[in-house]
Amino acid sequence: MKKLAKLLFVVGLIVLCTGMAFAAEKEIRIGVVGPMTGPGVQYGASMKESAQLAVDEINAAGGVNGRKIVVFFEDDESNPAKAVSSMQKLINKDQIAVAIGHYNSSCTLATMQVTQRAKTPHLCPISTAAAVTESGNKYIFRNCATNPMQVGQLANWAFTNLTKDGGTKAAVIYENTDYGTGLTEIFVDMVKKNPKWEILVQESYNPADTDMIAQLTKIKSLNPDVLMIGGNLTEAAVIIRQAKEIGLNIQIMGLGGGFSNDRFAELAGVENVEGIVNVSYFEKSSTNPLAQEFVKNYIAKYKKDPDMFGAATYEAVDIVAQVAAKLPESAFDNTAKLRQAMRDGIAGLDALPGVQGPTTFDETGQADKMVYIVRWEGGKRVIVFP
Amino acid sequence: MKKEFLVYIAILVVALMFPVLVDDVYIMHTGVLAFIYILLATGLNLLTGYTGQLSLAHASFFGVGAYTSAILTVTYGWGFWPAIIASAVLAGVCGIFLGFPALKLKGPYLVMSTIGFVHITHELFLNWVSVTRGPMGITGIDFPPGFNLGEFAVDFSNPHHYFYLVLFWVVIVFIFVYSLINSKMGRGLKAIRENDIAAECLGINLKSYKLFAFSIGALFAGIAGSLYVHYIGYVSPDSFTLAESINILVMVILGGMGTLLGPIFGAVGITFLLENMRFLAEYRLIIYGIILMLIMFFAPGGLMGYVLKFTAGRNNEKLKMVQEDE
Amino acid sequence: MLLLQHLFSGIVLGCTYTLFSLGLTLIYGILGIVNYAHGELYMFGAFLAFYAALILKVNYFMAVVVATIGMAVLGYIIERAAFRPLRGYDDTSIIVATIGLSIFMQNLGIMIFGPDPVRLETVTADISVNIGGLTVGLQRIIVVVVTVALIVALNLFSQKTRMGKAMRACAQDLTAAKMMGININKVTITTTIIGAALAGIGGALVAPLYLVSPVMGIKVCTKAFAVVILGGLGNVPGAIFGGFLVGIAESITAGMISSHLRDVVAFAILVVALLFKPEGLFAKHMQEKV
Repeated sequence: MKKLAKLLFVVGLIVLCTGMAFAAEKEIRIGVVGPMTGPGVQYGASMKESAQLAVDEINAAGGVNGRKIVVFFEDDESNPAKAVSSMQKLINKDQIAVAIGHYNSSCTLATMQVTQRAKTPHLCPISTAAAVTESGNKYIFRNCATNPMQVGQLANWAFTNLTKDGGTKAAVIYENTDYGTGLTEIFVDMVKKNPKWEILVQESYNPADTDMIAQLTKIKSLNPDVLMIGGNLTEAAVIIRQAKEIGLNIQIMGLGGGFSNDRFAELAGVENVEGIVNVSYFEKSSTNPLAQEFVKNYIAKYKKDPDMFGAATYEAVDIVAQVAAKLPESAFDNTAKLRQAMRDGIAGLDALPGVQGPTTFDETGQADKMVYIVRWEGGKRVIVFP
Repeated sequence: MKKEFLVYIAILVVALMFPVLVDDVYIMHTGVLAFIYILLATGLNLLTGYTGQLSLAHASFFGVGAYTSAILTVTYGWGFWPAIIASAVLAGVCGIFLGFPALKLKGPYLVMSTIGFVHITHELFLNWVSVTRGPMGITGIDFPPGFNLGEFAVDFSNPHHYFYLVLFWVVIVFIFVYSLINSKMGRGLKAIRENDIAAECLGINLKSYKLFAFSIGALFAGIAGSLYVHYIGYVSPDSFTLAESINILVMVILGGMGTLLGPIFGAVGITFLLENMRFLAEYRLIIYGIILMLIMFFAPGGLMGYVLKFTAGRNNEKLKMVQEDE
Repeated sequence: MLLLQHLFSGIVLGCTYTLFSLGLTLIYGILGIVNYAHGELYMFGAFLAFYAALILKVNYFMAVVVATIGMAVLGYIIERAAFRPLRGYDDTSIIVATIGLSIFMQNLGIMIFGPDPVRLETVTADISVNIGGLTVGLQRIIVVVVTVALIVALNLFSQKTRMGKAMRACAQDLTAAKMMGININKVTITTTIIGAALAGIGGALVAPLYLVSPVMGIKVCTKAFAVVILGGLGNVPGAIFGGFLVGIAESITAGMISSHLRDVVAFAILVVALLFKPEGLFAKHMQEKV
């Protein structure tokens, strides 16, 4: 009996190892890749939920000219090598027409070479590293603001509103990743050009760090006027709370959009986030009717507020559907033809309305997206710019 | 002609035929990765399986190889072949570098210091920005240049062709390991695994033997690193963490430590297993964790040990002999 | 003053590492198992406290008690289902099996608790007191006090009770202890329960300070391994000393030298220490058998 169980176990393993294949039908296949496990899992979940919502809505309305959108979700574990594998799977096994991903810039930088080689359009809704759209890759399109756009906007706002007569001293604490260092470098460059501002100290932390007291104590001892955070929600929430704990009561700003999310107030405490200013590229208080519709449907389905990563992913799926709706019937002959037609369609978009505002891609594949500056007041974000 | 040679040749034929029979680029891509992992697992097996030095530092050497190749080709414009040799050599030197402090250590103490080594190299990749570009990683690493084989144009941007490049290195490494473990040196390494004090009494120079195992294991990882970055085209510190080391160790152990074929089956099996479990989505890693535990409960000698047990029957004496022959 | 502030936050950090490492070192010392899944016990402890506070609506201290009881149950299950089948296996098999357990528990955590981090709200987390110029969070003081109390309690338990004496006997020589009529199974279960509970309390104590998330155990687990090895595997005073040493060194390095070096410092200390004392700082001289 025990031997039989062992044998069954081995047979089961072999079956798992051999895998399976399936055939294509009349449908539009898209792939959404993000961190569905591992340290970035919360952001991957947000991508997945929003993409699913978009696909359900489109299919419930009859699909794209009668064609259903089929979405394949893949996990990149925030690891570039795993990301490449998942992208290869989507392109070659699932035969997707358009790829949407990733969360981490490092993953996007690795997989955009795969999609380029496979001549598959690749929409990047979240990764903000400038390098993504600076490599001459004709298949990558980004529908969110880049790091330079986000930091530039915030720095200019800070220079106008926070400059003191005797000069303003800033401290920076950033996540030691492509995202955090990318934001910080741009900010440091901008400050160098402004004689009234100086940077006292740059401190870093690693993703998933939980104790920032050491860095914050050092920052406090130097007595800066402003603290800039270049990082993401979870760690930023920890930083804010620990800054209050040691009595560092200065203006705090978020260089990127990383924590423009309702859950930020929840995690850091409503009273602690009061007055923080940061960048955002999606606001649920936006007057855009598409955005309001999205927020309403998202809350109805998932019982929580959407974040901007979700909004950007939702918009990316929507772009795919809108572009596909305009394609001639002949474009659907085979996958290669469809991919090329989709790429050309996406590249040729002109002010397509979306939840984040109109989308037009320039020749590098970058969309000029609205960047908001928001201030936290009573646990809610108030748009202070534009 | 020994029976084992027939097995090796049969496996080689299967590997050679694999790209011919498989059309799907995704399966081929997984095959390329699996074979790169064979190089890694074989190197670790030499160190852990044959010499008994349990190490979790293999991702470091993998990373050293990857970064060396990336930096030499992108920043200094070297060609692929000189770069891969340089990667192997540098990784081998790093292996000696780790080997020195590791000489005195054993068991969990050794494992921990190798874990420390992984963290230290990871921080080095992350923070030595002027050379490694830090967290941004290095992009734009080209495929090795293609060439014409008579009528046939070899293009390494095609995974089907790249597979043969990796296979070429796997065969070289395999032949090397095969001849090594059947030499005096190899028997010395196994003696260290069984009992290092007794081995020393027999006149084996523990220090140089262990350093040798560390450097050769690392050297293979360097080759794998170079093949990996030229295939993926991008390198960043995220790829060379403790998790990667664990992954390689799991391959060696599941395949069967101290056997020639174990790491091969382990690497191919685990890579394809993880890829084929993708349909399980969020449940994938939960089930993977259970599978790891179950295999260790039922077959602590790894799958190769399990196979050997079946072929050798219940006779323990015979089983021991088979393992020794391997 | 700055140094004192760093020293204090280092001590708090050291408390976390110590609570974590004590369980790790006890389990190794008696069961011979390098428990790679210890970080997940820490995570489960934090989540149990969070849900106890949320669902049972009890105050923070009761939540910690509930979490401790929950962790003891979990420790029992793990001992029976995972550790006992591994008894007598070699180190490598055990490491892979507990790695499997860790992957399983971590992803189970993501499934049960969801991927988002949560915050355990307490009154103590947001109160800071000023002691002679040092700004000190109240919750941090609680962490230190509870840790010290637990260390004292553990010491009393192992010196004064029958079970504690049995545990020490098993740690010295399992076979001899068995021959003396000690019920090994009882000892291993008790050890695992104590280890799991200590890790769980550690998680529950830091929950108001940090955030609670399914991946919170990964980092502290690797550091704790360094701590345990530094003090000598299976060595309780060594784990306590190592925990505080690493915590303080980390805090001072990050605050005074460079925050880039923070995650390396534990391992740098470890590698240097092992060069001079290959069996850990607190190891007694061991006779090597041929």
